[in-house]
Amino acid sequence: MNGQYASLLIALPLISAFFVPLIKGLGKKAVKYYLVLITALQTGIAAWVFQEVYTTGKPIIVMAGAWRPPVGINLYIGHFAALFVLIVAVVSFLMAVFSIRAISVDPIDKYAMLFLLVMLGATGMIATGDIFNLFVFMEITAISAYALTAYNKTGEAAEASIKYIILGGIGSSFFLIGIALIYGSLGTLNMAQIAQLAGGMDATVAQVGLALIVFGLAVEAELFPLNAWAPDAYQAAPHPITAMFSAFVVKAGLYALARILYLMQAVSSWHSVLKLLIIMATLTVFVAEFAALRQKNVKRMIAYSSIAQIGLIGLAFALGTQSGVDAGVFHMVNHAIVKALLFLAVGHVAVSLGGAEMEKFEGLGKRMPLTAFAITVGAIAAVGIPLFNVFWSKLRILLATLGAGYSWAAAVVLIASVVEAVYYFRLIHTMWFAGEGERISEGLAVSLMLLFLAALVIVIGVYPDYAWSIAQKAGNDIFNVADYIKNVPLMGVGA
Amino acid sequence: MINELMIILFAPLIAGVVAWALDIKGIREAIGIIGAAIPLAYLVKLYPTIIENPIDYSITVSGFTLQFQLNTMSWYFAAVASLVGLAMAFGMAVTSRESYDWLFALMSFTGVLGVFLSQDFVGFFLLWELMTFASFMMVLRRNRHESLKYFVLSVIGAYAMLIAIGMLYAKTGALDFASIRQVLYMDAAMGTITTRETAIIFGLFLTAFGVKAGAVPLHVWAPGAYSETDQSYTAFFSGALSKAGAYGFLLLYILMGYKLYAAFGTFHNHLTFAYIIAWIGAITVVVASFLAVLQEDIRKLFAYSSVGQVGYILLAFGLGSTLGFAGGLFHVLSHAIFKGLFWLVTAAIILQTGKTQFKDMGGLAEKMPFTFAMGLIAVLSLAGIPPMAGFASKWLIYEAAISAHMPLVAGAIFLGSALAFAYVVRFLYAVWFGQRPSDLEDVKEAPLPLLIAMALLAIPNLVFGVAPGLVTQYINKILGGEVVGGDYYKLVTPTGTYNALLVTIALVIGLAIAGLVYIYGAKTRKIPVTNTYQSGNPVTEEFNLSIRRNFYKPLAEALEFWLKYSWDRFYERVAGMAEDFADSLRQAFYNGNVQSYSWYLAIVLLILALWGVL
Amino acid sequence: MISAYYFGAISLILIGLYAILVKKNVLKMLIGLSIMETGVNLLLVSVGYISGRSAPILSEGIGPNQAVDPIPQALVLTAIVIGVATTAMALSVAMIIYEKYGTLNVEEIRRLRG
Repeated sequence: MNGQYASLLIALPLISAFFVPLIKGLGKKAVKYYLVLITALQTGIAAWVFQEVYTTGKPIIVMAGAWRPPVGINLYIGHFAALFVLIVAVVSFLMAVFSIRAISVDPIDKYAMLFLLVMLGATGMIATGDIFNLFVFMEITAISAYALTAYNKTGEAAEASIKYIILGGIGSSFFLIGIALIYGSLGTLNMAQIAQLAGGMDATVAQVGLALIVFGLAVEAELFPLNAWAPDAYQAAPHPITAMFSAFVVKAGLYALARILYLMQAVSSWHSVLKLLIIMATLTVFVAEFAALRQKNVKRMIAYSSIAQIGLIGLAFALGTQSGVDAGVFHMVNHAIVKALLFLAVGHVAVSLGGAEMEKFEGLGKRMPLTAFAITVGAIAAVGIPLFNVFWSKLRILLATLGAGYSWAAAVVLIASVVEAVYYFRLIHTMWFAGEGERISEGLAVSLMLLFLAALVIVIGVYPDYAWSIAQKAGNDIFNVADYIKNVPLMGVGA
Repeated sequence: MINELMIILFAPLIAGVVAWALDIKGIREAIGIIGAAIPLAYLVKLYPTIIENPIDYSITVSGFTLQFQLNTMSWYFAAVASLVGLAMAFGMAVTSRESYDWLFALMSFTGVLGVFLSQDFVGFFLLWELMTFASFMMVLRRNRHESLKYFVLSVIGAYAMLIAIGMLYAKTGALDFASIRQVLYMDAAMGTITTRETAIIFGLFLTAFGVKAGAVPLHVWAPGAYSETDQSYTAFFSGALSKAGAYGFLLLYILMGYKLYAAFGTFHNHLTFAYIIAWIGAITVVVASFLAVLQEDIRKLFAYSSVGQVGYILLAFGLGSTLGFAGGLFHVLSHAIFKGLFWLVTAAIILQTGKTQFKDMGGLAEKMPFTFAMGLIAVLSLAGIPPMAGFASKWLIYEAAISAHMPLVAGAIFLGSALAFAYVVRFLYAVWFGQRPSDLEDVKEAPLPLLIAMALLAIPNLVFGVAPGLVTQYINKILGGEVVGGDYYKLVTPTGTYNALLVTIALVIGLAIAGLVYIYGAKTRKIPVTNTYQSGNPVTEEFNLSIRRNFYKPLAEALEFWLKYSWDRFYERVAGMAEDFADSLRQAFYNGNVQSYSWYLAIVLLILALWGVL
Repeated sequence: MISAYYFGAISLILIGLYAILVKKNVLKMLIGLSIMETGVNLLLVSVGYISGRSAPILSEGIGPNQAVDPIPQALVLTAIVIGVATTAMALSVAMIIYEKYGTLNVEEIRRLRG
């Protein structure tokens, strides 16, 4: 089949989003099922693209309007993008199903539109091959995310949203300045061409440009101390949206960060940027884990945990080694699964019991055993216990960190991991061994999704080889810039 | 060939998962016992093979090659663990009624076996973590505070190990034991790894293995964790799982011995690094034994006792001589069997009486004669009274300490033995003899599976006590030389000879004479209960020291100065500080004001600007 | 001449940043955000400006070599649209905040913290 069909990944959610008002005429229920249908279709396309890319081993390059880059904007669906687009689609699908139960506030049609736009934005950020296009997709994601954060229309939701808007606004402004500087210096916006020309860039401009882009993306990627919006947004957003934030919205930002970082590795100040990122990422892990320690609200606690894990991925990417990037991608995949599981389960509890405070979780093992089991699996995995998926990626990241000579970073991360273990195990104890309660119905669809995700956690934990080989290929896609440049059919025009 | 090691390794785990998933009373227990019996059966079956050649097995997981090997040493440790594991399973069949317990008990069984069989650091770490996690879950169910104390210390240990592994990996480029050993052996001469790095790696490993072995000052988790779980499981926890720490120390010798010697040299004719280990062991023995004496709870007493006994093993390994290793290895076995037995006896007592404090016990020997007999064997073995396994191993350690010219360490062994005697006497009398509290009148003998479990551990105590040569000759094979001479009944070391058979015969004859005298010659005199004196003073409520209550209070008063300092309280304070720090950190940083958050962004921009200038 | 545009653009960015960092009223902060975005847009346009050339509209007498770089202008158009969307979004959120909290003072909008 023609690879150009991959552009449906962008087109489908966009077009479908505009059809939502028409569907609304058929009733509220119809909108929710429409959402499920579209995300299912998207999953199908993403699965096809994934299969295509991994069997041929070649990236799919989609050229808009058949214009060859750098004149036309291209999509670059390599190993990483194919993998991650699939994750985006699958998580969106699961959350669309969850939305049927979890979302009761009106206007549901706006919710569906924004939902699709978040999915579109994240997909676009991952797939695009043009740096300004990246900015546009980032803003699509961000603005939809602002709106979805405020969707519940409570004071807290609005407060979280305004924080997100202000910080996100500052971040994206500086990101744009960075793009302007790079464009001013190189005269191109195509990522492959930027990589090609980066070595010849004026050192100061390159340094400032790269620093500003890293700064702007770090706000989206929740690196300390630019992540202050994140816990609030996670807590206040509707439950399915929180899971999406954690599973792919942040990661799209992180991916963009890593991609641009490695594209510009010819820049002379590259290593000092890496060092700065390592410090920020390590602090992210440390501060977030400690902040989670005595949280009373479980959703917020898991939000902090998610931020910490993102910091860990950031650390892996900032090492500047192949093994670090591979490990980071592997952790991204595992983290997406685990956090989707945890936020889904916690959101499910919050919907069923009317809140995510710690007291609500007392006796959960007796009230909602399956959900409690899912949370337990997720929590144990997040701590990094063997035979669960995160163990492997955490181990990889730590070995890579030590291999790169950053023993202090590894030590700090591990201290933070001890803290993480403490709060997760307190949660497990609260769920199973404290409090009593009557068993309540858990709902078939959510139960199935929880079981599916928990099974995935354990399967990857017991048999990590397949996931690891995929992660290696995807990591190579990011790390090996020479191949990236070679794969994009640039027209022979210079700046 | 392919899967024998895997069967040994994963049979318990799979049985645990199946038992947990089925959760049918009766079948659950049967599956658990079968799962626990398989490793022992296979190990016995493979015994003739591994004497000739080691069995290797390796699998590739997630890009790592996990290597396992059953050689003479790993067979020894695995066999000890499997024996205790089987006893545990029998014990749990009556003491535990939850599938949860079966899952995690058997999971930790797999973990322990894996730690012993692994020949590379990835598998070692993976199974080490699995073992820690599973044993933690056993405690979490019953006591959140103690379990977290255990887990936090264990995880700190595990992560220390991980950093050490990572550093070794970065230096040597290998993760398997054979290559690391080779590279470090070469490096001892070349010295590319600096002394400082070596010291850090050594310190990290010391922390990692010290936690698991319960070495002072990292022992504080042990009393709580050992008491706050199913007591049959504790038999395994204390008997086998703590040996993983001891095994780690041995591994340290195997992998890094030459390098450590080259880096640190010798101190008073001893290897400096070994000297440190020996003293850690000696201090552990003394401190833990003192604390054990002062306990009022049976479980706490044995917990501290267990810490102290593992201290003996460390001490023996720290002597650095082959005789020391032989003694240490023997003690691994004897500690596992006598302490396992003790915990099973404790499990039986708690199961039948529901009490744990000395003050609530008494006169149980008549009610639970078989359990009593088992307890007596354990007591004799622990106190180091011939002809029990405990004596033979302690004797070897003592001989080793003397021939290594470490009199102070030998003194620690001696003091530890004396204290051990003091606490087991109390256990013996307070629980089994004397007046029986009225609420223990209808106590019955422990159920059959528990008795089987006890017998399973009591028999080796006797057999290896009478014929210690069985063990020492195998240990000679591990160490690759005639370290301990003699035959089945006689041990010969450069400094002494111990003939177990002779001692046994003498003991039997002596006991027979004493028995005859007792039966035919003793006059009994009945006295009223109130006619009780201590040191010539009548008992008052203020100073009521019976063997069941505050028996060693005078000792506690004498040690008052030392008891003021407690590692436990120290760690609790550190943990409290960490929690307060966490609170103030998040309150200060995530203060809710978006303007402050904007300032963070501005500050980062400022740093970027300055960093660009600098 | 070009440096004047850069100077102006950076001044606008700093003014906007100042408003965000110092003004306590959420609306004023949002105005600051808008000013900052304007500054960025100006910067972007000035990157593509070539002294003495005209707008990039190909017509009589203005070939590719007589026009300024058109791409930044296209970018700025997009950026302006994005800015408007953000501002609209932010203002509507500010309305909800005023409804629920009865104030727009950032120091009192702190229910989510810690």
